[in-house]
Amino acid sequence: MVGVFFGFFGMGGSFLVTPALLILGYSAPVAIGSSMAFVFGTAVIATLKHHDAGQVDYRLGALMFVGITIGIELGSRLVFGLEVLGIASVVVGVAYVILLAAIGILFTRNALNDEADAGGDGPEAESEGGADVTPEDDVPEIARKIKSYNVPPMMTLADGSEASLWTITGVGGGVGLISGFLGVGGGFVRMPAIYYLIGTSLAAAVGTSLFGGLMSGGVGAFTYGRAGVIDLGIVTALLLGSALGARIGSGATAYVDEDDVTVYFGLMLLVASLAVALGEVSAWLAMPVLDRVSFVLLIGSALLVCAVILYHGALAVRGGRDAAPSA
Amino acid sequence: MYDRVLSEAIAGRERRRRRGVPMTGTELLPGASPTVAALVVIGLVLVEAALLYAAYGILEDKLAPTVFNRIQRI
Repeated sequence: MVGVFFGFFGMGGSFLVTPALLILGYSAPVAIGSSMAFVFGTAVIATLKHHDAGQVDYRLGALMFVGITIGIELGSRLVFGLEVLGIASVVVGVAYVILLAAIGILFTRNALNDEADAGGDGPEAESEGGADVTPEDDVPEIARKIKSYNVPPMMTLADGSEASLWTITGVGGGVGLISGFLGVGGGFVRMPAIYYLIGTSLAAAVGTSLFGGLMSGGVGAFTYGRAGVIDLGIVTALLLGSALGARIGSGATAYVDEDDVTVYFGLMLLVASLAVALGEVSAWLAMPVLDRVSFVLLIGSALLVCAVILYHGALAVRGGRDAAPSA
Repeated sequence: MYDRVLSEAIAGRERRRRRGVPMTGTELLPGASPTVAALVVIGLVLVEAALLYAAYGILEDKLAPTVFNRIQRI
């Protein structure tokens, strides 16, 4: 399931695996360290698969990584500052819930708006008009506005469009700041940030986000590896399943219409926000039952979205839809 | 948060080392520095990932046409 998720959305590794390992009784350091190594391995597999489809912008990923690294450092310093004030866990918890909800609302709203824009035309009309669709049409309105400022130096992206180096570094720094502040892998922020702020196609955002996950997972695995908390047994067992899932998820991006799944992704993030909120409340009220409800919500919603991806993939194959052109 | 977890992790590693309980990848190379051990662990994960990618790729090439045909017939 995590593999399918990772391959399709370019996120979901540590987000789903760490809580699962904690529930299974592993200590926090082993759960996080093994999860980092697992994210690294799965990102390698999913990136290779997206590379085959031409959906990875390596230059963009590498440039973003510079900003991400600086941002992570700033984010963790911010947490230390808040710890001195004694409000770190409350602020981090609330920020996590708000961020998940905000990204969830953004995706759900945009998906519903796109559906409304399509009117009753249906998929047939959409495919008939497909010849007139340019890569620029896939770019969200926010990204088009940011791109219109043209602040030099400009960089040519893999799809031929241009983006300011300042935007790329700024977005990378922002993603890193959130990642370091919340102590999460950051895929759920990285992918939407590439799509909505830098303005690549959704497929390229997923592929490039995976490449970013590969690099940040590698750095995280190295840091935790030095502390000796990566359990190779757990990583191998997880990789055996996720490697297949990542291939299926990555392959599905070429068949499944993004709009069919984006709305579910947005809803899943909203449920995840609720789950994290319940987890925080459980810690404050010392009610472990809420923690279990939170975990069930998180895994349940992820399973549902995973099933939706596979269902739409099967429908596309049944309809004889060819693999979509790569980004 | 990660730094706190890391310091706990380092303390845990020392406790395990004292008890002689092998658990993590870094115990694969006794006497190696933490940096070398971490690099070896990352290398092993990379090799595992590459092998799984190749193995599942062969499986996909062999099974995909059959699976696609079956789905189309449903």
